[in-house]
Amino acid sequence: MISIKTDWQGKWGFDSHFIIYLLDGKSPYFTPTLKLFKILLKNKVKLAITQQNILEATRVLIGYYKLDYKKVVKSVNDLISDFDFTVYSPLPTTLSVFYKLFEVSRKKQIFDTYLAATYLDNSIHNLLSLNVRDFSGIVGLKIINPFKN
Amino acid sequence: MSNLIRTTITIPEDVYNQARIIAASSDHSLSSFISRLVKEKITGVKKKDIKNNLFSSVGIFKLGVKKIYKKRDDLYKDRLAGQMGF
Repeated sequence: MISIKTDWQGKWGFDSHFIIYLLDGKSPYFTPTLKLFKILLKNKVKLAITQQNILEATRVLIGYYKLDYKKVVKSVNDLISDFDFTVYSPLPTTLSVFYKLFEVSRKKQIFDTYLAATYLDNSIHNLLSLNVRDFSGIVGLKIINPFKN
Repeated sequence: MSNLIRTTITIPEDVYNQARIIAASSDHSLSSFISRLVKEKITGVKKKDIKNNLFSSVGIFKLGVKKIYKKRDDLYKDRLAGQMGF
Protein backbone atom coordinates (compact mmCIF):
# COMPACT_ATOMS: atom_id res chain seq x y z
CA MET A 1 0.00 0.00 0.00
CA ILE A 2 2.96 2.33 0.60
CA SER A 3 4.69 3.11 -2.64
CA ILE A 4 7.12 5.97 -2.46
CA LYS A 5 10.19 6.15 -4.60
CA THR A 6 12.35 8.84 -3.09
CA ASP A 7 15.73 9.22 -1.47
CA TRP A 8 14.17 10.94 1.57
CA GLN A 9 16.74 13.72 1.40
CA GLY A 10 16.00 16.96 3.22
CA LYS A 11 13.21 17.66 5.66
CA TRP A 12 9.72 16.25 5.14
CA GLY A 13 6.55 17.99 6.20
CA PHE A 14 3.29 16.22 6.99
CA ASP A 15 -0.34 17.04 6.58
CA SER A 16 -2.56 17.20 9.66
CA HIS A 17 -4.42 13.93 9.03
CA PHE A 18 -1.31 11.85 9.70
CA ILE A 19 -1.28 13.05 13.32
CA ILE A 20 -4.84 11.83 13.75
CA TYR A 21 -4.29 8.55 11.92
CA LEU A 22 -1.33 7.77 14.19
CA LEU A 23 -3.37 8.51 17.30
CA ASP A 24 -6.54 6.73 16.19
CA GLY A 25 -6.01 2.98 16.49
CA LYS A 26 -9.40 2.32 14.91
CA SER A 27 -8.82 4.40 11.78
CA PRO A 28 -8.49 2.41 8.55
CA TYR A 29 -5.40 4.53 7.93
CA PHE A 30 -3.79 3.69 11.28
CA THR A 31 -1.83 0.62 10.17
CA PRO A 32 -0.64 2.08 6.83
CA THR A 33 0.39 5.28 8.60
CA LEU A 34 2.29 3.34 11.25
CA LYS A 35 4.06 1.36 8.51
CA LEU A 36 4.90 4.62 6.77
CA PHE A 37 6.47 6.07 9.90
CA LYS A 38 8.47 2.92 10.54
CA ILE A 39 9.92 3.36 7.05
CA LEU A 40 10.64 7.02 7.75
CA LEU A 41 12.39 6.22 11.03
CA LYS A 42 14.38 3.44 9.40
CA ASN A 43 15.56 5.92 6.77
CA LYS A 44 16.30 8.53 9.46
CA VAL A 45 14.08 11.05 7.73
CA LYS A 46 13.92 14.51 9.28
CA LEU A 47 10.26 14.96 10.20
CA ALA A 48 8.69 18.40 10.20
CA ILE A 49 5.30 19.61 11.33
CA THR A 50 3.82 23.09 11.61
CA GLN A 51 1.90 24.72 14.41
CA GLN A 52 -1.03 24.92 11.96
CA ASN A 53 -1.06 21.11 11.59
CA ILE A 54 -1.10 20.67 15.35
CA LEU A 55 -3.96 23.13 15.75
CA GLU A 56 -5.97 21.46 12.99
CA ALA A 57 -5.51 17.98 14.44
CA THR A 58 -6.44 19.31 17.88
CA ARG A 59 -9.48 21.03 16.41
CA VAL A 60 -10.71 17.78 14.87
CA LEU A 61 -10.17 15.72 18.01
CA ILE A 62 -11.77 18.12 20.48
CA GLY A 63 -14.23 19.82 18.12
CA TYR A 64 -15.62 16.93 16.10
CA TYR A 65 -14.85 13.95 18.31
CA LYS A 66 -15.38 15.75 21.62
CA LEU A 67 -12.28 14.33 23.26
CA ASP A 68 -10.89 15.83 26.44
CA TYR A 69 -8.69 18.82 25.66
CA LYS A 70 -5.90 17.96 28.11
CA LYS A 71 -5.77 14.36 26.90
CA VAL A 72 -5.57 15.51 23.29
CA VAL A 73 -2.80 18.02 23.99
CA LYS A 74 -0.78 15.43 25.91
CA SER A 75 -1.28 12.79 23.22
CA VAL A 76 -0.25 15.11 20.40
CA ASN A 77 2.78 16.33 22.38
CA ASP A 78 3.84 12.76 23.18
CA LEU A 79 3.56 11.83 19.50
CA ILE A 80 5.62 14.80 18.37
CA SER A 81 8.24 14.05 20.98
CA ASP A 82 8.39 10.28 20.37
CA PHE A 83 8.81 10.64 16.62
CA ASP A 84 11.17 13.56 17.02
CA PHE A 85 9.19 15.95 14.83
CA THR A 86 10.56 19.46 14.61
CA VAL A 87 7.73 21.96 15.00
CA TYR A 88 7.87 24.93 12.62
CA SER A 89 6.13 28.27 13.02
CA PRO A 90 5.20 30.92 10.48
CA LEU A 91 7.95 33.50 10.07
CA PRO A 92 7.53 37.27 9.64
CA THR A 93 8.00 36.69 5.91
CA THR A 94 5.44 33.86 5.63
CA LEU A 95 2.55 36.17 4.85
CA SER A 96 4.27 37.60 1.79
CA VAL A 97 5.17 34.06 0.65
CA PHE A 98 1.50 33.19 1.10
CA TYR A 99 0.37 36.13 -1.05
CA LYS A 100 2.69 35.11 -3.87
CA LEU A 101 1.59 31.47 -3.73
CA PHE A 102 -2.07 32.37 -3.52
CA GLU A 103 -1.88 34.44 -6.68
CA VAL A 104 -0.72 31.45 -8.71
CA SER A 105 -2.47 28.61 -6.87
CA ARG A 106 -5.28 26.94 -8.77
CA LYS A 107 -7.48 25.93 -5.87
CA LYS A 108 -7.48 29.30 -4.08
CA GLN A 109 -7.77 27.67 -0.68
CA ILE A 110 -6.51 30.07 1.98
CA PHE A 111 -5.46 27.58 4.65
CA ASP A 112 -3.88 25.03 2.28
CA THR A 113 -1.83 27.83 0.79
CA TYR A 114 -0.82 29.23 4.19
CA LEU A 115 0.32 25.76 5.28
CA ALA A 116 2.39 25.46 2.11
CA ALA A 117 3.80 28.97 2.70
CA THR A 118 4.86 28.06 6.25
CA TYR A 119 6.70 24.98 5.06
CA LEU A 120 8.35 26.75 2.14
CA ASP A 121 9.34 29.76 4.23
CA ASN A 122 11.10 27.35 6.60
CA SER A 123 12.97 25.79 3.65
CA ILE A 124 10.93 22.59 3.67
CA HIS A 125 10.15 21.52 0.12
CA ASN A 126 8.64 18.06 0.62
CA LEU A 127 5.16 17.35 1.95
CA LEU A 128 3.33 14.09 2.51
CA SER A 129 -0.42 14.46 2.16
CA LEU A 130 -3.39 12.38 1.07
CA ASN A 131 -4.85 15.50 -0.55
CA VAL A 132 -2.31 16.22 -3.26
CA ARG A 133 -4.79 18.11 -5.43
CA ASP A 134 -5.43 20.64 -2.65
CA PHE A 135 -1.92 21.95 -3.26
CA SER A 136 -1.99 22.00 -7.04
CA GLY A 137 -0.22 24.99 -8.48
CA ILE A 138 1.94 25.56 -5.38
CA VAL A 139 5.39 26.18 -6.77
CA GLY A 140 8.44 24.74 -5.01
CA LEU A 141 6.65 22.19 -2.83
CA LYS A 142 6.79 18.51 -3.79
CA ILE A 143 3.59 16.83 -2.60
CA ILE A 144 3.47 13.04 -2.32
CA ASN A 145 0.56 10.80 -1.38
CA PRO A 146 2.31 7.83 0.25
CA PHE A 147 -0.73 5.57 -0.12
CA LYS A 148 -1.42 6.19 -3.78
CA ASN A 149 -1.07 3.07 -5.90
CA MET B 1 20.14 17.77 14.07
CA SER B 2 20.76 21.46 14.82
CA ASN B 3 24.23 22.93 14.54
CA LEU B 4 26.26 22.22 17.66
CA ILE B 5 28.18 24.85 19.58
CA ARG B 6 30.78 24.39 22.28
CA THR B 7 30.10 26.33 25.47
CA THR B 8 31.27 26.43 29.07
CA ILE B 9 28.96 26.27 32.06
CA THR B 10 29.73 26.27 35.78
CA ILE B 11 27.86 23.79 37.98
CA PRO B 12 28.48 22.34 41.47
CA GLU B 13 30.82 19.34 41.52
CA ASP B 14 28.28 16.99 43.08
CA VAL B 15 25.71 17.89 40.43
CA TYR B 16 28.32 17.30 37.73
CA ASN B 17 29.24 13.88 39.15
CA GLN B 18 25.64 12.77 39.51
CA ALA B 19 24.77 13.99 36.01
CA ARG B 20 27.73 12.08 34.58
CA ILE B 21 26.60 8.87 36.28
CA ILE B 22 22.98 9.21 35.16
CA ALA B 23 24.03 10.05 31.60
CA ALA B 24 26.37 7.06 31.44
CA SER B 25 23.77 4.68 32.84
CA SER B 26 21.37 5.61 30.06
CA ASP B 27 23.98 5.38 27.29
CA HIS B 28 24.14 9.13 26.76
CA SER B 29 27.06 11.48 26.73
CA LEU B 30 26.98 14.23 29.33
CA SER B 31 26.47 16.75 26.52
CA SER B 32 23.45 14.99 25.04
CA PHE B 33 22.02 14.40 28.53
CA ILE B 34 22.23 18.10 29.46
CA SER B 35 21.05 19.16 26.01
CA ARG B 36 18.00 16.93 26.36
CA LEU B 37 17.14 18.32 29.81
CA VAL B 38 17.43 21.92 28.59
CA LYS B 39 15.35 21.15 25.50
CA GLU B 40 12.63 19.60 27.66
CA LYS B 41 12.61 22.70 29.83
CA ILE B 42 12.38 25.03 26.82
CA THR B 43 9.72 23.13 24.89
CA GLY B 44 7.76 21.79 27.84
CA VAL B 45 7.71 18.43 26.08
CA LYS B 46 9.37 15.61 27.97
CA LYS B 47 11.17 13.17 25.75
CA LYS B 48 10.64 9.50 26.49
CA ASP B 49 13.20 6.77 26.23
CA ILE B 50 12.90 6.21 22.49
CA LYS B 51 14.22 2.65 22.60
CA ASN B 52 11.44 1.44 24.87
CA ASN B 53 8.51 3.75 24.25
CA LEU B 54 8.60 4.80 20.62
CA PHE B 55 5.15 3.50 19.77
CA SER B 56 3.49 3.97 23.13
CA SER B 57 1.84 7.18 21.97
CA VAL B 58 0.20 5.73 18.85
CA GLY B 59 -3.26 4.26 18.55
CA ILE B 60 -4.47 5.52 21.91
CA PHE B 61 -7.85 6.74 20.62
CA LYS B 62 -10.51 4.45 19.11
CA LEU B 63 -12.46 6.74 16.79
CA GLY B 64 -12.41 5.24 13.30
CA VAL B 65 -11.45 8.48 11.53
CA LYS B 66 -11.43 8.22 7.73
CA LYS B 67 -11.32 11.75 6.39
CA ILE B 68 -10.84 14.71 8.70
CA TYR B 69 -12.32 17.30 6.33
CA LYS B 70 -13.61 17.71 2.81
CA LYS B 71 -11.69 20.93 2.43
CA ARG B 72 -9.19 22.30 4.97
CA ASP B 73 -11.14 25.54 5.05
CA ASP B 74 -14.05 23.60 6.59
CA LEU B 75 -12.04 23.34 9.82
CA TYR B 76 -12.11 27.12 10.13
CA LYS B 77 -15.58 27.78 8.76
CA ASP B 78 -17.64 27.68 11.98
CA ARG B 79 -15.19 29.84 13.85
CA LEU B 80 -14.97 32.45 11.11
CA ALA B 81 -18.73 32.47 10.56
CA GLY B 82 -19.34 33.00 14.27
CA GLN B 83 -16.85 35.82 14.51
CA MET B 84 -17.92 37.60 11.37
CA GLY B 85 -21.63 37.24 12.05
CA PHE B 86 -22.72 35.34 8.95
